[in-house]
Parts: sequence; structure tokens; C-alpha cells
Amino acid sequence: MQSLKEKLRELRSAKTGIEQHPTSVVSFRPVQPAIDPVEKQSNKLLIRNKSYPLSFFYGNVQLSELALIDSNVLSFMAGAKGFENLTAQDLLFVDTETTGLAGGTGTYVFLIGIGRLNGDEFVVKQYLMNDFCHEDLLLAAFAAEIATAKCLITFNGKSFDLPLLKTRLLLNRKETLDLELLPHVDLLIPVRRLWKKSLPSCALADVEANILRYNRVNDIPGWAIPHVYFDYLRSQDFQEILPVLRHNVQDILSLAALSAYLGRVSKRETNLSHVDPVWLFRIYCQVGKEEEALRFSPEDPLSINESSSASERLLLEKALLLKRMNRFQESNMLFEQLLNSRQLAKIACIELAKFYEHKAKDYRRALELMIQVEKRYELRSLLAGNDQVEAIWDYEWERRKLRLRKKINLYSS
Amino acid sequence: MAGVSRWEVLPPQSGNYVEFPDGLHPALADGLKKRGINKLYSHQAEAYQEITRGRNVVIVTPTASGKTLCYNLPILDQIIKDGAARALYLFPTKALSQDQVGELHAMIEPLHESVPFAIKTYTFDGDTPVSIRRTIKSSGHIVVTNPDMLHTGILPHHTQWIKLFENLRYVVIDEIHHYRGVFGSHFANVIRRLKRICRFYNVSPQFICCSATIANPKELAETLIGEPVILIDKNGAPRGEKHIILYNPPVINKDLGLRKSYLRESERISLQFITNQIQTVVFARSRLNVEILLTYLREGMKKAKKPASLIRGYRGGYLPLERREIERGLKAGEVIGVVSTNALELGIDVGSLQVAVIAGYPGTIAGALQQAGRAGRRLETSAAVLVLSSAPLEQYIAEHPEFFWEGSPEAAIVDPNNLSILLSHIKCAAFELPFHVGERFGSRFDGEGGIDATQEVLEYLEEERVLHRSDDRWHWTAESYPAEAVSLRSAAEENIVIIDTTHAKERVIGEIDLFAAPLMVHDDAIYLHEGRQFHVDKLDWERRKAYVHEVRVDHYTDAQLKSDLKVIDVFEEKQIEQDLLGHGEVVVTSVATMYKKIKFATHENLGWAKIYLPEIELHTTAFWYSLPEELIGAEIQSQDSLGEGLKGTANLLQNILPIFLMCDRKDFSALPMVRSPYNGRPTIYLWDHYPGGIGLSKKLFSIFPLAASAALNLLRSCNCRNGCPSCVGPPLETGEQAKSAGRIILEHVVRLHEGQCSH
Repeated sequence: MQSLKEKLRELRSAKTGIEQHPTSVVSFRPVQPAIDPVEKQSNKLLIRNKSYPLSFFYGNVQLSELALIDSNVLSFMAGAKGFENLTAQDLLFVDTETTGLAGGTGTYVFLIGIGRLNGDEFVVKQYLMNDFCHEDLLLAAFAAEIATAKCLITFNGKSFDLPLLKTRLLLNRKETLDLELLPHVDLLIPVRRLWKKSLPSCALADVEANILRYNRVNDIPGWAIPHVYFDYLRSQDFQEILPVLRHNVQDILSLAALSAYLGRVSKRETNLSHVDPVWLFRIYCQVGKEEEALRFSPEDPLSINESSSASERLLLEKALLLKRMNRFQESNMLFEQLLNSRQLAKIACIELAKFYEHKAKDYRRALELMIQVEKRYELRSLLAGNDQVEAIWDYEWERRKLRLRKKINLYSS
Repeated sequence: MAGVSRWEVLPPQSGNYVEFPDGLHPALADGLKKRGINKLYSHQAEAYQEITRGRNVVIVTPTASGKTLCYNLPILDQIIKDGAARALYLFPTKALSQDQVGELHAMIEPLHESVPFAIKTYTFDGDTPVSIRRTIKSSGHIVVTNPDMLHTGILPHHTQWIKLFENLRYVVIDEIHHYRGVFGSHFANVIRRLKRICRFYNVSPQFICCSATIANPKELAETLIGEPVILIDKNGAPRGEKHIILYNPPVINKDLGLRKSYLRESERISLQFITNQIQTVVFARSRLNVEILLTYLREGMKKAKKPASLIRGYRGGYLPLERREIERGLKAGEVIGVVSTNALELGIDVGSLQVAVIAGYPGTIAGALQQAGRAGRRLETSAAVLVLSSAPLEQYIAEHPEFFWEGSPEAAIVDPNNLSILLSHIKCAAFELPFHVGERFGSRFDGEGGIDATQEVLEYLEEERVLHRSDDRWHWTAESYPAEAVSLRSAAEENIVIIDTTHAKERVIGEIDLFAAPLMVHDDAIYLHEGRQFHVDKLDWERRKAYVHEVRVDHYTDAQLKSDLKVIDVFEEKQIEQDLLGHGEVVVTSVATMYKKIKFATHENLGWAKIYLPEIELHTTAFWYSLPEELIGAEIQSQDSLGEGLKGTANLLQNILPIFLMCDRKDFSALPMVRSPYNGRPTIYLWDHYPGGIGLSKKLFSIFPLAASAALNLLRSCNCRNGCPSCVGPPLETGEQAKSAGRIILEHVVRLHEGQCSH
């Protein structure tokens, strides 16, 4: 008779059996193994400190620029208000390494890296749990760091790192720590808004290469990290996990450099040719700097260029903003200008029609304008698509014309 | 009416009514009164009492007996009294859960006047928009979902469902008779995982199960949830007069046991009702049959000079709008006939229908009863007509219709401790929460195997580097997400996919399990699929694909399988006089050797060829029955006729067993041996097709005398001379002696066991 383990092995080897797990694990070793300074190495939690002078360059950003980050810059990055009275010294740059990307309760955070400005240095502190049974120590260390924090900066932390940490805290019955209460800037959000159209992807590596002009050398690929950790769990060989620690340090430096760079963008003190001007404008509005947004001048790198569709969209944004501000004369001027844009003429025309109908009560002019635009762009044939959005548009358009005709008849008789 | 094998009239029954229970919240009582419900049926009141007393229950009552109120009432009552209380409802299919939410909303609606907070119920399944998932997780009082979603979407993310788990008071498992075989064995393990997570959140919810009429609802419920349950099966709902008619189409070929097409006969019978303005629902076995019947019926309507639009089709996947339209049509009399696949997919209220025509036995008695129950929901006279095909099992039912009113012999069987299933779910469980040293997966209640093996399985997974032991706990150390790799519903882990290359665009027309494939889709086989012939151009064994193209030929192929079976471990064995029966663990090796081409009608052998395929090995469980050798000479003339008799008996058993084991004929195989290497005696083996077995052989060990006497009845009542496909099999395949020798064998077995019982 077979033992249970023999049967289990048979299940695995049988052609018809369960799926196989990779038993050969990828191992990643740096080209030049080097001993790293480790502050305190216990067999439970490993704590490692790395300091960088502010003169240090990460790509095209010098860490000293971090000092320029203020509440205005933070609001800009978050696209929201609520970062008052914060300075660069209050920021905590956080990045974690995990046993997988799938999420769920079986995915562990094993390394937490925290970067901050400390006097004339940028310090990265890393906490690595040497085994699962020390998870509570890792989380306690994290909680202690968080306790003094005023603002978190992450990359994709809102949907990945923080929910995962929250799950870990719950599973370790440390529910008291409420991560959602802390001000938090997830850099993925401004990156997506500003560069989505000009970057191959919004992954941190692509942002680094294209925006910060930094290329990592000999960096461990992200997919290998869980396997390296699983190997480390069994070997406890520090050299094995070192590449992961280095990768994490780079991520945190990258967060800092990217924040500083976004500081430049927020003040429009850098080349903005790759930045989506519409989103830049919108973010300005979101943080209450409408007047400044309206002053994006012709000399500006974002100036209106007749051939650029981005600049037309920007013009529309401006016009809509002015309308919201009840500055109709100015908004109407811009809408009139937009009637020359094949793409946006219809929207601009509707806006003008709305104004003439509801504000100026000049129904005839509204109707004439609509018919004029229709003729000019042969809109009927142009809009005869089967797109549902367009169908609704057409319906609204016709309804407005009908209503205008009724009003004209009503008031002329 | 010719061809009617039984016409049973069940007299009307008056209801057994009970006042609303004392403790019931007045808001609920008022709400029910507003909907015209002033009293409860006795079983509803009984369920309320047992559930409020904190018991687990299984409720078994027929279709349309107000079953859902049995659980909705006590649960809503508890939620009104304690707004934090939560409940989880599990339904085997999505369609069914959508219906139930509708019913729940109808109960909750009148409550908003008197209950200070809104009771929220949500369906959580694959179709749930991401935007409302967060709301469901935090504020749903009742979350309605299915086992697959619980398995992959909820349990592995339990921390997101903390509000639900911390306050989980009830788990409703409706239609538990669906959880049988492989699906049921998986499901029992999903419940083990659910309970493990509940323990983490310090709750122990009550389980409320509902089942159609089967032989073992209590046993099934207890195995699935791993706890004792109270059985509630005294129906208090009234019923109108009910006619149950079993119709057996006339024989058109006596040798082959062939009868007139049950589809055509179903059409004829349905038309008689429909053309007389009697609203009728017709149930077909497959989507294809729905289409065929619909076409037949509409043609029939045209011939009868009636509008074809009076008949509507209904299959799964219809939109709510279409359902409402059919309902409206039924009420307005614009729809007289509805053709549907399955009573459970029928997400429409067909309350006014008077007749159900069931075109072909739906596979289980429970299923047939559910379909029959769809007609006559009100107190009027109603009728159900079951039109049988010539399949052996259906012919047995034609002779034994009493199952429909005297109680079903169908037992739903699961084995939560099947090693490969158990292993899958221990992995999923380890992902959800680390295992403690000494922890046992499953409860004491559901068998020793699962729990004792836990530590050993964990150690094995550690060796495989799937888990890592740290201090006193095992943690998940793989990047993958284990639940995603485990499907609750697929039987074999690997199937051969059949690809039709007739047209430029290749398409998959079916799947066949690995053990049947060498017989059915070897190179140059003629494969029959939905009445069409396909030639197998290539069986790519490595890639698990068979390429076929459609043909029209005058022959079929019949492959020979050489099987061998070795008993490795005996679980139980029993000697009765000279006979021996037992069950245990076996290894079955089989290899397809050759095939014959056989001409239709004449059965001429047109030639043969070899098959070159690798040998397949299957570790599983089997039941065996060994006869005394003395049977030869005394009652059976020769070893040859004994062989034929064993073959015939094995065929009969395989045909009849689905009715006792509530499974498909393809879920197990029979292997007769004139001289078994295990004990040197004439033996019939019946083995489970799923690796490791899912409990069929164990059950068979305990019910074998019943099955043997049913097999004998089928043999005796069959009118053929030397055997036909409806009983022991055609003489050309099983031999001229199969019927006579099989009869001697079964008479011997039945006599022996009857003797046993009378002692």
C-alpha cells in the first residue's frame, strides 16, 4: 500500500494530475557581489540605511530640488487641494516589495522602503522580514514610521501597496492603523494624466528612462523578485536578497526625483513639449489656479498653434472655464475662434447657441449659427455614424433646432 | 391514449396552515399581509422555529411550495432586529440567483415604512460592475452569489469582505442536490474554506440548505457543511389535482429496441394541448433540442392553421426584457407554448401554465420532478407528460414510474476527501490564511480522511516549495493565485478537445475525457456528434486535440479497449456465502488496440485496423462483485456463456446505476472478468472515472442489492429475445448468451441478498 505522500507525488507526476508548480526557481545574482552596510541585522527583521547627499543626481534631477516641494507642488501632483502647511521635510516616500502581484490574502509584503529628507541628506530606510513569522515586527516598524508621517508619496500605492498593507494589518489584527486618513500622493496619477499620450507605458521604468533620463544598470527584473525572496527564505543568504534591496532603493530615489521633476512641471519651469496641455490646464483649475491657467500665453510652449489639435482642445478648456466663471464675452470669443476647428466646431456652436438662446434670448441668431455650421462642415453626412454617442448628439442637435424654431415662431407672432 | 405506460392521478391536497410565529417582527408580518399572505404553510413555520433556535436545516419540499420564504423570513427577521447581521446566499447558477434577488426585493419593499434602515441585497457575480463592488462589500446585508465566485472572488480576498464575515449569521445553500459528484466534492471543500475564514473572524454561521427530492438530503447537507442538520420535509403547501403521465413511444424496430422519436412524439402531444388553447411548457434536454422542437411545433401550428407566434422559445441567456415579454404574453394569452431547456433556467413566472411536457428524461428524477412541478402552480388541475426515449434507463423508468410519487432512490454522492480535490483546496486555503501546525482541514463530522491527512499534505506542499513553514505556521510561497487554477465544475482535469475542420474556420464541437478518447476519437474513427458523422483525421495526443471533418458514410467504427485492473487497497469487503463484494483503491490501465468498421443496418464487418496510442493509467476507486466459480456447469453451460453473462450484467448495471448514484452513465465504467487476477473468480468491477474516485464505489457497496434487483427487473421486462441496446446490449456485441446467462447471474445475486435481508 502506498503512503499518502507517494500518492500525492503520483498525482503531481501523472499526466492527468494537478497543475505543476515551478520547482526550479529563478535566481538572480548581481554581476559584482558586494557587501553592503547593514545597520542592524537580526534574524527577525533586517534594517538597512542608505544615505545620499543632496548633491546626488538621479537622472536629470538633483536631490536638492526636493527642498522646493511645497504644498502647491503637492496639490498639483495630487490634482486636489488639502496639502496645506506641508514642506519637503514632511514627505515619506514609500515603496514595497511583495511575493506577487495578484493581490489577495496570500500575497505578502516582505520589504518596506521609506525615503525622507533628513537635514542635508536623503535617507532610505529599509525593513526586510527574514521570515513570515516576523511579519508583525515588520508591520510594527512600518506603523512607527507612519506615526510621525504627514504625507505619503508612492507610485501606484493607492491601488496596490496601501490596500495590500491594509490587508496585512488586518490579518495581523492591527486594524487600528488607518492608512486612508493620511494625505497621500500617488505619482501614477499625474504621470498618467500628463504623459500617457507621449510615453510607451506609464511603468516607472519608462518614466525614468523618458522623463528623468535615467537608465538602471543591472537591475533585477520585477517578475524575478518573488522567486528570489522565496529562495532567500530558505537560504537566509544576504547576498541573494541584496539585488532586491537595491532595486527598492532605486525605486524610492526614483519617487523622489520624479516628485522634484513634477515640481518643475507645476511651475512650468521645464520643457513641456511632452506634457498633455489639456491636463496641465485642468490640474491648474483643480488646484484653484484658474487665473494662472488662463494666462498660458502665446509665448508659452503651450501656445495655440492652429495646426495642433491639442491646442484646440486647450482653447476649448479655456472657453468652458471662462463660461463657468460667467465671463461670457471672453468665452464667446474663444468659441467663435473654435468654429474654425473642424473637430470642435460642433461643441463650440452648441455652446454659442446656448448662450444666444438662454442669455441673449436671440433665438434667430442661435438657429442661424447652427445652420451655418451645419452647412460649412456638411455635418449631416459627417455625423451619420452609428456611434451611440454621436446618435445622441444628433438627437440633441435636432431637438435644439426644433425648440429654437418654436421659440422664434412664438415670439415673432 | 396508446403508448401511455402509466397515468397516475394525484388527488388535490389541502394546505396545512399555521399562524405567523409569535416572535416574528410585526413589520414582516404586515409586509406579508400586504402581499396577501396571512398565514404560513406548516413547513415554513417549522423552518422559522428551527432556524431561530439556531439549528442548521435542510428543507426538502416540491417546486412551488414557498420554499424561499422558509429562509427569507427568519433571515430578514434577524436583520430587522439586528441591523449588523449579514447573510450569504449561494445558488448553483447565475440565472437562479437573479430570480431569488427579485423575490427578496419583493419582500423587502414593503418594509421601508416601518424599518428605520434600508435592508440591502446585492448579487455579486462575474457581471457585477466594478463600481458597485465596494458598496456590496461594505454594506450588503444579504450577498447573493455562486460557488465559483465565492471560490475565486470572495474567499481569497476575505479582508475586503470584513464587514460581511465579522457579522455573518447565515449561509443559505439552495438547490443542494446540484452539489454532487465532482462539483459537490469541490463545493464541500469551498465550504470548509469558508468556515475556516469564519473562525478567523470569530463567527460560526448557521447553514440553511434546500434540496429537491432526493434519497439522502440530510446526509448530503451534512457532508457538504460538515455539521449536523435538521431535516424539514413535511410539505404544508396545498396542491391541485395533478396528472402524471408517462408516455413510451411505440417500438418500430424490435431487434434494435428502437422506438419512435421522442422529439416527434413530444411535438405531437404538445400540439394537442397548444392547439386547444391549453398553456403548455415543453422541456427539452439541450439547446439544440429546444431549437428543433420549436421548429417542429411552429410547423405544426401552421398546418393547424394557427399562428406560429403563439409558441416561444426560451433558453439560458435571454435578457430580462425578453423574459418579461414572454410573461406578459402568457398572461395576455398571446403565448400558449414555451419551449425551454431546463426548469432552472426558466427565470420567468409561468404560474398559469397547466401542462408540462418533458421531452426526454432530464437525467435525474429530481430534475424531472422540478420540471413537472413547473405546471399548475395554482390550485387548478394540471398535468405533466414525460415522453421517454429508448435509452435503457428511460425504459426502466417507464416500468417503474412509482419513483415519481413514492420517493426517489437517487442519492447525491460526494467525496470531499478525494485526494486531488482536497489538495487543490488545501492550497487555496493556505493562500487565504496560513495553516497552523496541528490544524485540521475540515471537521470531524465529514470523515476522517480529510482531517487526518492535513498535516501530511502540508508537509508535502512544503517539500514542493508551494508552502514555507515559519515557526508554527505554513505560509503560501508561490506567486500564483491558486483558486484561479482550480475549476469547481470540470470533471477530468484534462480533456481532449474535438476540432471540426470541415469549414475554413475551425471550431470546437465538443470535449471528451481522456479515458474515453482512445475509443471514440482514435485516428480514422467515425465520431458521432449530435446525429452527424465526423471522420477523425488526427488525434494529437500530446496536445490533447482531435481534428475531424464532417462525412456521410454507411458505417461506424467500434474500437476495442484492453483494460486491466489491479486492486491496491481494500477498504471494505463482505462475504455472503460464496459471493464476495468489496470496494477499494485500484489502478486501471487501458490501451485501445484495434477497431472494426461496421456497416449500418446489416452490421457487416467491413474490415479492421490497429490503433497506436499510449497506455493510460488511472488511480481510482472501484466496487467489485465476485461470483462463485461453481456457477459454471451448475447453472451456466460454459465459460464463454459466463463471459457473455458477465458482460450483459455489467451493461445492465451501468445503464441502471445513474438512478441510484445520481450521476451520468459516463461517470464510471464497468469491467467484467471471467477470472479476476485479484481473487481468481468471475468478477464485475465498476470503477469511478474521476482520478481518486468521488465516492460512487463506496455508495455502490452499500446499495448493491437494490441495484441488482433493478437490473434484473429491467432485463425481465425487456421484450427483446437475446438482448438489445435497451437492456444487456445487442447480441452482436455482447453475445447470444448475454441475456440468458445475465439473467441467471442476477437471479442468483438477488436470491442471495433477499435471503440475507430476511435473516
